Amino acid sequence: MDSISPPMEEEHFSSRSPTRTTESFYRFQFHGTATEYFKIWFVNITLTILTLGIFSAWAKVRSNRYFYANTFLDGANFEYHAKPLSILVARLIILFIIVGGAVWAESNVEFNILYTTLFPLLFLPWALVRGLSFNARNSSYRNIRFHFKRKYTFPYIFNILMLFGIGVMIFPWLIRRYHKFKIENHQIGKVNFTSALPSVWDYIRVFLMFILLAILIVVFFIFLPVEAVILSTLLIVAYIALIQATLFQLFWKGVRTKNGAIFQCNFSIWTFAIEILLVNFIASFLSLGLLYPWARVRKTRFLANNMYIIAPPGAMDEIFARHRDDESAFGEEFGVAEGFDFDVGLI
Amino acid sequence: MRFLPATAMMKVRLVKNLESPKDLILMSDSFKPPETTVGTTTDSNAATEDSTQVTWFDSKSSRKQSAILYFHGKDIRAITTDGERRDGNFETVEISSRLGSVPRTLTFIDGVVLSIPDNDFIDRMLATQSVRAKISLLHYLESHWRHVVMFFATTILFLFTTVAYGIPAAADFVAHRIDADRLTAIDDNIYKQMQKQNFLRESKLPHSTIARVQKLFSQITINNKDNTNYQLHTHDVVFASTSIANAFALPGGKVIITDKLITLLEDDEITAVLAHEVGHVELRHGMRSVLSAAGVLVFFTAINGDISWIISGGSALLNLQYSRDNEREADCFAYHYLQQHNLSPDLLGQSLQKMERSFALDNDEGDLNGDLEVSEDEATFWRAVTKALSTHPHTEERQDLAKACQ
Repeated sequence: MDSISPPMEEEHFSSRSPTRTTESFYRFQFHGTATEYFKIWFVNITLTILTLGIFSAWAKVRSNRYFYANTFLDGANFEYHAKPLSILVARLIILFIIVGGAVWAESNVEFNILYTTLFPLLFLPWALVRGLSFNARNSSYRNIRFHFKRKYTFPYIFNILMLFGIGVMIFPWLIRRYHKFKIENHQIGKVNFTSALPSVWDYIRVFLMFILLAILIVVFFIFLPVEAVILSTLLIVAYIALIQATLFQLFWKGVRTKNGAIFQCNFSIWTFAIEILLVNFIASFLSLGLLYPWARVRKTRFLANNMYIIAPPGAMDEIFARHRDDESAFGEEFGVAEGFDFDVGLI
Repeated sequence: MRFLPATAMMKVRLVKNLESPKDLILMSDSFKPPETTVGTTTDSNAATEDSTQVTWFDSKSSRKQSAILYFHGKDIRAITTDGERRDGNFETVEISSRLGSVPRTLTFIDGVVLSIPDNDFIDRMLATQSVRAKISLLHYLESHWRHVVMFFATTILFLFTTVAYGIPAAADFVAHRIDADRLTAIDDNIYKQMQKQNFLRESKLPHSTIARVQKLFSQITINNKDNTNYQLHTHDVVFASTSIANAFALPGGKVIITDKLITLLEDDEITAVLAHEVGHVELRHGMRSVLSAAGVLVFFTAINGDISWIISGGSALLNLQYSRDNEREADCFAYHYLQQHNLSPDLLGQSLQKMERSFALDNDEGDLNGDLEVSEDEATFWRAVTKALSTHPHTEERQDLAKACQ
């Protein structure tokens, strides 16, 4: 039998630079279009409304599938596998716990204290980890599932530190530690993700810059007439967009895999924050949400076009699947807190 | 590149892979590899009417192979360029539903996945199956603009009915079933908060005036049936360093009237205003607004996720609409009270005008229509805008109570 030609050579271009002769670039590509997603999105909304929210689980899966499966890397796309029914069941359970708890807390003072303090403290870290795990397990690339090691220590410490106010003082360090936690507990098949995050000083520098920027904005507001609501809103949104873009870059610059793949972001924070996120916000807002599909597609396409992976030859083909041993248990079976997205598919 | 050689080669593989001779016969009968593919040199020529080019992923590694997928009746077979093969049928494989132009996946029992770029091909093959003719209904809806438009209309209609009638009715139902004691407790809380924030200041009016207003108030509330705990408080309310003329009601029966309003209005006019506020309490507007707002939020949260952009703007406008409805109802309550007590129904309109004038003077705005030169069209436009954005109906609209409340 003749061998098939190695797919890598078909899909990417090798670097001509002498130092990188052994490594190759793999670009992300996004094939989705705004018109196509608009129609999917609209049918999703309508059916969700007509079914009083029940369809929302199916809608989420369809939306996610659309974005995952349209994201290509080295000629193969990502896949999203979550079962809508598990998401629906999880949502109903969470709704029941929250609404039931709130109603009971109303009539019972001791339970009220327990419910409003202890419940978020105990529940949120658990939900975060289960959510990450659910998302990872339901994402795949080339038929190899992602995996998230369920480690609870850090989220609980994070929560407790924030509760006692210590967290605010060491916030840059906490954010970096959280990025590390997210990266290093992820696996694709048997291949671990490793972190090579910017140093904690970079995080502190970014943190201080944003505090300075916030002060500048507040000072600016003092001199701004009260009527300039639009300008001040835009400033605040731009500020939030800048924070998002910066954190995004800090995170993805640090993502690597054990077998040598390195993630790269090839865009400026300003372009991402202002041209993409801020413009998306304005468009979505002015169109009362109708341009949301366009905005989401635009953002994804921008990220896909500007991110790539550098990896040694063969790295893409030599990811082996894990043994399916430690499956199930409540919380992973169901998409508890699937809102905490890791965005494996770059959404 | 050479594709799968001849039938002979295939038989060898069949013998190797299948367990009983019976299977062998079955398989070789049902499968006749397309003759055109044999001996061709390129992959693209390999695909025929019931076969297509796919990418093969075994479930063990990330290796990517190209393969050909064949359909024959109910049977499905995939063969890689290396000659590896999987067989299945429509009952045993799983084919993902169509979603835009996203590649479809076909999963064999042992986990081998094929990524199929040709969506139409898969739909054609599925259409031939009477057993599981699963052509995605969702895709059918998603791929036609006229359905999307139709859906748009349905959505708007449904949203409108729920939000305009469903939620207020439900909120009203609940609001009337909350007992007076609980409402009083809520009132006390809000009242304390307002005092703490220095929003309500000690009344500077003489005791005799306060007593007179209290008497007017008790005349209105004396006949109330649902043992609501009515209380009137007079306060000096200062906003942006000027005292304001206003009156408002808390959900459980506390009504607050400001010093400035008392000095501004005649007694009968005060009665009209207080009757309006009592109307808010009687009709449980406070609770109803809170519940409606919560209802809208819950409703939109249930719809969830994808719609989040619409919530932000929409629910704010809706709450304003509810607020205007409440004002109209309270106006009518006052109108009926005034009629029953042989007072002129115009009193409420008069007091509203006085309040508005006092407010305009405070803000140095003068007469809006006199000072600002606004063209007719522009005026109508801005009226429509301010109408949508205000908590109260237009004063002119509120003058004509007789017509609105019959």
